[in-house]
Amino acid sequence: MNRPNVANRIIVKLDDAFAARRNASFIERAVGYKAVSWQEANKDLLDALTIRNVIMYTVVGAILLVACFGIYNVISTVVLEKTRDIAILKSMGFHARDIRLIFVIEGAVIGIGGSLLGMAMGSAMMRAVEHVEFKPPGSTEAIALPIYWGWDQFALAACFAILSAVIAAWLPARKGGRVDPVDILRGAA
Amino acid sequence: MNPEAPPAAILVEMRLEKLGFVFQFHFLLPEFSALDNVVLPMRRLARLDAAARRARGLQLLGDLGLEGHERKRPSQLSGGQRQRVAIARALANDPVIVLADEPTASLDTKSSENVRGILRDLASKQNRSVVAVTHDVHFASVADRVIEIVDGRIVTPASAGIAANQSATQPAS
Repeated sequence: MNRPNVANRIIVKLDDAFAARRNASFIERAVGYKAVSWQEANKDLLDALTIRNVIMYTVVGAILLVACFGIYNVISTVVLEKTRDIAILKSMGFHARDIRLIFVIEGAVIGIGGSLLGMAMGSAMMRAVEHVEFKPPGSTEAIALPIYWGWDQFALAACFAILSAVIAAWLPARKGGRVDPVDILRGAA
Repeated sequence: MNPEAPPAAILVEMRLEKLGFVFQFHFLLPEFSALDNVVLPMRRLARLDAAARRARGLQLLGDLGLEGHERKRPSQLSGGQRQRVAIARALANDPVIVLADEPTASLDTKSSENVRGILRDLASKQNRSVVAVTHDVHFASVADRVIEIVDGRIVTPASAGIAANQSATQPAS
């Protein structure tokens, strides 16, 4: 390999970065020399990124779980506060499912409102992080953190948040639906 | 429990369509105006459209002498007014039977008189059955039929109850 004036490596640039694997195996078959895609060459790094994603989603899941408990708490308290009103509605002729629906809607409203507020705050934080500049080792120029502004991550976060709000509201809503008007109205002063 | 008893869902519908409740306390929803409280059972039944529900609600409140108070919250009304709103709500879906549990117990004499007259009219003028529980002998005196209960036992035979109020026109009130 130490011979001068001999090319020992050819780097191929592609328009589509993810076509590298296919092209590598094609080149290997056509030329007979070893061809390695960038994914193969950086396998350890890519694995680390996958693990990072797993960790990220786990942490986000844990945060959502905590938020669920918060919403569960709020709706539980509201159901307790409104026990008498629930009893009144049921004496009027509201079904248990009507009562459940009321509180699930309340949970969904909290979820949607929270998502909108959270996305606004999240965007502001992302905007702030975007301005953080640092010098990675081996680089002469300061670079900013690359931020992904895709709508899909917002949609994913909002969907999960609203879904967890509805699930968190469902349990106390069920309790609300089970209120027996006779018990409440007879004992009320 | 009676195995022949209809399932809960049917009972709920019956409550909605056939029965009206008036309690000792008004039990109006505090966040809703008088009119919205009256309209609520009609909204649940959904037999009338929004405009017709509103018109009927205003009509009921007007009949009970509450015109001008439709937009007020229960907390802005007097005890007698609240009880009348509660009666209007009980009548919202044109029930066959109105059940009243001590409807005048938390009212002063004048309001109590008023509510008593209204319930009396429901039976004699609107041809509904009104079943009221009361401790007030004066209130009971306007009923077509009085059944006395002492310590959970009926002490007046039903027939005697009718005889005592012979002058009344309705078979049951």
